[in-house]
Amino acid sequence: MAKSFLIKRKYLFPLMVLGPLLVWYVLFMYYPTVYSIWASLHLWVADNPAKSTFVGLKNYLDMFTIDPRFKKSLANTFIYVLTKTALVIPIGLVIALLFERLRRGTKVYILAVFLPALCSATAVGILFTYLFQPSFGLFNAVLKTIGLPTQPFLTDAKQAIFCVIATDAWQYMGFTTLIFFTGLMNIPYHFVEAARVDGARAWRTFFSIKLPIMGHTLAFLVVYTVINAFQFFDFVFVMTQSGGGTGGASGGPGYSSSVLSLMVYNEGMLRPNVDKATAVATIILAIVLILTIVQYRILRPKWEY
Amino acid sequence: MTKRILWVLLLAALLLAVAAEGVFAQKKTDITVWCMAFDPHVNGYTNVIEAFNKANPSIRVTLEPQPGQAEMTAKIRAALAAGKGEATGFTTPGTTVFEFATTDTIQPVSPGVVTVEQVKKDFLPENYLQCNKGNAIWAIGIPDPPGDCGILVNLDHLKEAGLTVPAKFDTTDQLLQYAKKLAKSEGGKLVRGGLSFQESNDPNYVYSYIAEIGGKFWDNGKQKFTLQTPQAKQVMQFFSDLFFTHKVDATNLPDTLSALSQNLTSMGFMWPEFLPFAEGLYPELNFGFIMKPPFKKGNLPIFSHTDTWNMVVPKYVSGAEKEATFKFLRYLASEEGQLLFLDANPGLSPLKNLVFKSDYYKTGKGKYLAPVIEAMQKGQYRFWGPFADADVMLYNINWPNIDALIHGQLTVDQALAKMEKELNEQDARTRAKYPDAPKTNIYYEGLPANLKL
Repeated sequence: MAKSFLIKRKYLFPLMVLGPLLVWYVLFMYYPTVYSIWASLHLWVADNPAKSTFVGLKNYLDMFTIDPRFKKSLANTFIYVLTKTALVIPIGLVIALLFERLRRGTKVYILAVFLPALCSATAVGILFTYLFQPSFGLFNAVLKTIGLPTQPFLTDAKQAIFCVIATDAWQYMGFTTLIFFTGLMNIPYHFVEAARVDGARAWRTFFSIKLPIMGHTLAFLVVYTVINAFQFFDFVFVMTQSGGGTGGASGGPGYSSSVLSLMVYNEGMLRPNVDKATAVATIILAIVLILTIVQYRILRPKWEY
Repeated sequence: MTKRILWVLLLAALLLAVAAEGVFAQKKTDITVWCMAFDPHVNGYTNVIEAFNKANPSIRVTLEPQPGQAEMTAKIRAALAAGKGEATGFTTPGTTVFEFATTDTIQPVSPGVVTVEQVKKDFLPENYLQCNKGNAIWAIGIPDPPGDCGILVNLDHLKEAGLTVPAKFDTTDQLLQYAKKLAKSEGGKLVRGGLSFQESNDPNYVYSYIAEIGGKFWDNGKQKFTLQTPQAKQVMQFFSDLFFTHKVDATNLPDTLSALSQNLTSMGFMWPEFLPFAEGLYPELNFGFIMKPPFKKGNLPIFSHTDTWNMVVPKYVSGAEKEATFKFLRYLASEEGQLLFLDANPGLSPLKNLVFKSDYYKTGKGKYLAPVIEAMQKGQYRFWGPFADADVMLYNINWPNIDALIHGQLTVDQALAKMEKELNEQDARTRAKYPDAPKTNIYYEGLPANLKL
């Protein structure tokens, strides 16, 4: 009797603490995910789901064989993920290393670099839309001043996606810098000092001491950035609107800058194509899951200190 | 003592008043109407609702404006899918009425509000044609002008350029001459457009021009889109030339709505209700409306009203709420209700009697639509549809491909080929999704005899 009471008490607290969270996850994460996968296997009637028809993998097959938007969005998403990750990880690390060398005012510099990350993505997107404006935007004014040809930026099908990536990277950079800087600050000083006494130069200290110790930080940032970039929506939505007042959509010109997450919104929220939207969402989930596992396997530090 | 008695009497009187209020007060039926947070709609509804509530003390209608068109439609779809919701009436664009009726989520308003025969006789034809399911009427229209009947112009720009403001453009050449005179360039780049064609509703102009010169963008027999025709190529070339040959619009300028409101274009292919919208939002700008020219000299321009605005009743509304909603709709469909709406939103009323006989369109706020009404009476009025996925076709297929064309990503032939392919795929998908959807029959040559104006 007493033992059973103790067992109950032992489990009661974790259950009390985790229970609501579990309910939350089941209701708002797992159930919608399963429901969404179920919807993607149907010709889904958005206004009246009871009238939906089961079609198996047809929506997925159509996506890869018929729908030109999906292929473009998939390609753009990979361009987005790769370019953004390739920009923000090394540059964030370099800035963090520079800050590490500062003797004073570090907090001010960190704040200055991190500040954009605190701003609303919508506000930043609108601001950059004006900066990229081909006729009266600041960027073309600068190009003109230094004698370089002006650019169409967001109004050009080839440049639009890169303008969006650049804006995202600008805002996101502060976050990677801060995390790298925190990682650098946490490296035990005696490791670096020992290397210095042994005559290691700065680059050697970085590659042999600092970078391996920051393996977890690097792995986290790469995985987080990739997941974040895969799901990214705000800047593309705000900066690539076309068609004006009635029912225009983002992802323009045409659908040259569309990405998968935007396709989910356009098909599932703006139009009644919930089946297509959920199929795309499931594909995003599968890609992110696979990439996360692969990245963790590759980037996982081989040793602990 | 007297004072105490007085206090008791006062208290008793108060209690009696409260009790009487409870006993005799009528129980009100509350109904809620959603409309887009678009000033002309909100103000129009407000006028109608105030008058209705005053005349019907047992009913209380509340208006709940919703954000943009796409967001509002998403909310409506969510409520319809859930089978319940706060709203007993939705304001929805004509492109979705057929979809909602086909998915069996709205209820017919005939015969409860109007009869089919009454609509055919007394209402403009689109109110019947926009949804041909079950020979019923599914929506009551609110005032709204045909989206592709004219050109919105900045009157100050025309004045500056010494141009007169005709009621209608006679030819496309005249329109282009105006556009060229109004366009302004600096360093070889357009800084103010002469004629903007960057609005997602603009594919309606393309369809109407194709039909005007004898083309058929939809084959009634095969139930397929046919856009690779000489007529379609000619029309798309005209719009492409605005950017690449005549250079009166450029993609470095914003979309038509933004360009008009930011003084970055002088004229635009734009829905006419931009006029009341701009009056409220940009009072410093001075806009006017000019009827569009025919595509071919000597023809009469034809136009459609596929982009209607309506109030529909969800299927989940029943009992006293349904009675109250239908009563409100009867008022909205009356001349009195329509005139109140028109006071804030000078569009085209769905009622023939008002459109063709009322002074409102002769000397009142609706005067600017006089050439449009004259053209309607001459048989230039059409309806392009209904298609169950009209929203997807217009905004996901037609507009993005035209957008790609004007950005130089696609040639005219490529754009038309892509549009035709994608539209037919979408239509096949829609037919598979909604197997009960009636066939689409477009009356290219004019309205059917029983709907003639």
